[in-house]
Amino acid sequence: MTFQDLLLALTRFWAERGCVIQMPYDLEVGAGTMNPDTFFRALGPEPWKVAYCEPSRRPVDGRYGDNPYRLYKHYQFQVLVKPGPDDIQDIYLDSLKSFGIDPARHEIRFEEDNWESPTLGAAGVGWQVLLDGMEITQFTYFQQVGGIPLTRIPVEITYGVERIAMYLAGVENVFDLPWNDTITYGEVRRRDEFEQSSYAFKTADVEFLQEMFDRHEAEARRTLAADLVIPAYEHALRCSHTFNLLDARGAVSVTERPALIGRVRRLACAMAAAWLEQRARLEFPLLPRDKAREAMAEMEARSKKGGGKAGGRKPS
Amino acid sequence: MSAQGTHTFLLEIGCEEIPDRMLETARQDLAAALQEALISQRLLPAEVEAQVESFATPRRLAVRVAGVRSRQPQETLVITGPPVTTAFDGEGKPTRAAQGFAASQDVAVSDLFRQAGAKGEVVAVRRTRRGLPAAEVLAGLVPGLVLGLTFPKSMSWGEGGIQFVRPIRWLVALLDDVVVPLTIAGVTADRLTMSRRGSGVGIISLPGAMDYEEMLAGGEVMADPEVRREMMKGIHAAAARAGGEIVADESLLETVLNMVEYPGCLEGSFPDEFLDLPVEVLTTTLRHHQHCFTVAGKDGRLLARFVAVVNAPEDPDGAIRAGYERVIAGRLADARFFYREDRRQPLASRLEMLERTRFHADLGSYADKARRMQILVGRLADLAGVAGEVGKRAVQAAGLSKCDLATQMENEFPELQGVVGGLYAREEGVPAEVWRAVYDHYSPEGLDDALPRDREGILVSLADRLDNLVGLMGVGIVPKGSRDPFALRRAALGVVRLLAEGPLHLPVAAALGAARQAYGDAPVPWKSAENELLDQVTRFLEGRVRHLFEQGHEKHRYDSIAAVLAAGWDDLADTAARLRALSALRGQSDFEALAAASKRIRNILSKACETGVTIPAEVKTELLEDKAEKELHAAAALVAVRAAADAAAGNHEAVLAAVAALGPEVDQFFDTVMVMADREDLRLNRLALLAQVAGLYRREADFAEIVVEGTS
Repeated sequence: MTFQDLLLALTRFWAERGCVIQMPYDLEVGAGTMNPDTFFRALGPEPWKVAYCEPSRRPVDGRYGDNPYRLYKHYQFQVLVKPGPDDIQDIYLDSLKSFGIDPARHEIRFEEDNWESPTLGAAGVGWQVLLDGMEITQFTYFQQVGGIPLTRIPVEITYGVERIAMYLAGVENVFDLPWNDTITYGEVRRRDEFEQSSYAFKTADVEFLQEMFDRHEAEARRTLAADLVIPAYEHALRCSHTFNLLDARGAVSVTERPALIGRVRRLACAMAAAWLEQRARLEFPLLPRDKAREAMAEMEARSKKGGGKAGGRKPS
Repeated sequence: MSAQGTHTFLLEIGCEEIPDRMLETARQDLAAALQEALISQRLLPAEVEAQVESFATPRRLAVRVAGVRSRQPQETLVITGPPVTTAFDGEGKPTRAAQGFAASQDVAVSDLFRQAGAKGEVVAVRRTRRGLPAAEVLAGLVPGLVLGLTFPKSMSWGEGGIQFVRPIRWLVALLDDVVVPLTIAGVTADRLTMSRRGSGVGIISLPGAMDYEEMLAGGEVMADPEVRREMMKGIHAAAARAGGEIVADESLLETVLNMVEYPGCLEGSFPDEFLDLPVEVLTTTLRHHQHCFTVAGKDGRLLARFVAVVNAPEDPDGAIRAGYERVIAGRLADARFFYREDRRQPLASRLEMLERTRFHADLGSYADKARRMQILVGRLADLAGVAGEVGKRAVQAAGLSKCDLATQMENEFPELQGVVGGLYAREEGVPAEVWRAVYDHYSPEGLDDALPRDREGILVSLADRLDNLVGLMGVGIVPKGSRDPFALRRAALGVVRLLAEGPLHLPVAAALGAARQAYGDAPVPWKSAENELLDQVTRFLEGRVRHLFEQGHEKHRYDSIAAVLAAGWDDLADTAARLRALSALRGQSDFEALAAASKRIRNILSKACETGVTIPAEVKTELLEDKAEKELHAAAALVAVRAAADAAAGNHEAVLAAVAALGPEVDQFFDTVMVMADREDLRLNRLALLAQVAGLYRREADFAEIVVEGTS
């Protein structure tokens, strides 16, 4: 089975279970969670099912295409189901069969691994899933996103597709992975890895990036004030990626780090609150009408009680 | 139903995978909570020892209780109403208050009787309450009890609103063979449980409560952890098949025990070439990262083999073994890459990289810290009288101690900090005491792990911790409650153990002063003046001294500790020795007399001081009139000489025994001598004599701090 076959198998599997098949977001992100189809849709009472493959950039993990496992950019196959159904673990185990892993002939273990993203003000409880000792998936019940505690709980399933594909293909170097029957992962991506690593570690202009961080932050706030949540969030994403580049460039001191992460988190939290308010104004269109009215009444009661914006604030 | 008309109740909570670290506590908590609730609900007799069995696997918590009554016994209650004075008027006729109370209890006024209450007589009524059937009580009782269990971390799922360790997916509640109708978190109990994932069995229907283990075993679930523990002895056979022996690791055994429902033991191998890696790296990769046991040959050296305990009875296609082998080889290849890369550059040269690694915003970089540690280690070596070779080697080690923070290996294996630096230093051929000091300098971490092997390591470890304590507390970081982000309590406990249990005699006050001096005139925003800070750190350390002596493996009584600390603790090794001597003596008969005499003398002296008397420093022998005071004086002088010699030899038990042996003379003195004599010179002389005895008493411990049982 090739890398491409794996992506197709997962896509088909989750499409058959009612997921919206989305395309990757067209901006740099560090993880599939940052895609608005996860970050925002995890919030609020509306149901949601989505699956997509997200190219995820981690500049500090860049190794110039020399390391057999580590990449500047890897792919995540991401599923978000809200609320997670009672048999979500069984569905997940079925998904392994879609690419030829029969749980009865292997050892599948769910080992505690709680997830936290300080830049997104998000946290969840869950496991890393191990297949015969190898980590293949992060399985997380979100508890909080954008500083907002969640009431209807989404399940996020993130497959590490390179790793699974390497296992299936029996190769030990990611660049040897067959992308399809005619071309390898290395042939498609290696030069890209080299250039991105070089840029992140050596070439990137620190002053330019620092200025971009400040300007994207300001633009995000300005745009949010105009109630344009998605464009505002995109500037927050650019802040996040700019931060990651600065970090790889060695331009973030240990003390500055929490301050910069805090600035991105405050943006993300403001966006989350604004998005939820917007959905309430739209009367939660994905809910049946009676449930929508209930949800709006509940939100109103909570915002009165909290005295703040809808959805409350991150407890700190 | 059993012969006595009692029943057996089985409860199983089916969950998604519960973290291994929480499982054992959860099993015990659930069993204890259920037993307690059944007793308080009178479904179990309190006076008979209950038969409670509990079970746990990653996917279930279960408890089975035998001897449950069919229903609660009938109960007679007395319900009290208004005071007699308001219930009856002047003529003894019932008022509306009495009538209302009777009506509310559904009885006639004539059924009311009088009973004494806290504020006078009240009216009351006696009612009998029929007991409820067990199933009904359980249905009401169990949900709250289950959801009331606490975990280190809980979560919500689905529609939210409920917190538990992981989502609850099924429930079994059987009273003998009958389902108890109860619902928790939207899940309704039945007799259906689940087999091991991948067993192919699926849903298992339990005929009755007693069939639990057997039916589950049929589904490849060993519900009783002790059964799994027994089966896990298979790791030794697996190691033997691999040609070696398991390297014992109790904590790994506990971890793995709680990760599987059916333990299968399988052996595997990795390429021999990785045996070139340091054993610490191999062990960390295999045990910590992959939860596999390492295997050693007859000579104790690791073999290129491992034993895994997997959640499956067998490995039909060899896929599980192949998977583990592949992952382990991959991880070891990573580690070898770092090991080779790191060693291209001398360890000491990494100090430069540490200039850019912040230790703390107000306290500079790790390079700054390493320089301070070098200064401090030199000073500590002086104070301990080991300034020569030991001191020199310790200073060299302090300079190298933090360099591994800038290596790839340490970044990949943060649990090996210090160890990595030590290994690299060894490769570079530095003296053994130097690399071992680097290797060991994060020890000790708790109450009973080992101290660094050499005096050099002890000095570096002390310097590291003292620098943390003085620096971080100096800029206002103080642990509060459970918040101790810089682990200052652990640092302080480390200092205390190094001094109390190590071979070096180092004065605490001087060591703290030296730590503050090592900061020199660095631009640190100190929050308090130097002496204030040192006082604060001293008090903080004293808390850890008490903690060590109370909770450490010696476990002394708190009043013994107070008594010994009151006699000073600047030399903690000496303090610890005095405390051991005191605790050993406590059981003996003259000990309580000693404590009593000590208290009596202290009271007399402090009263005298309160009235403004200045007690002379010397006893004038010519003023000793009475036989008893002469004898006490002579005995005290003798004891003083002997005590000084014994203490110098470190024989604190002998010192205490000698002091205790003064008892008869002290008793005789109090029996026959009037301390507060009319003549002032006699009075002062007697007080001086008592002060001398008190001085002896206090040299080892302040016995007045001892709490003697039966007195107060």
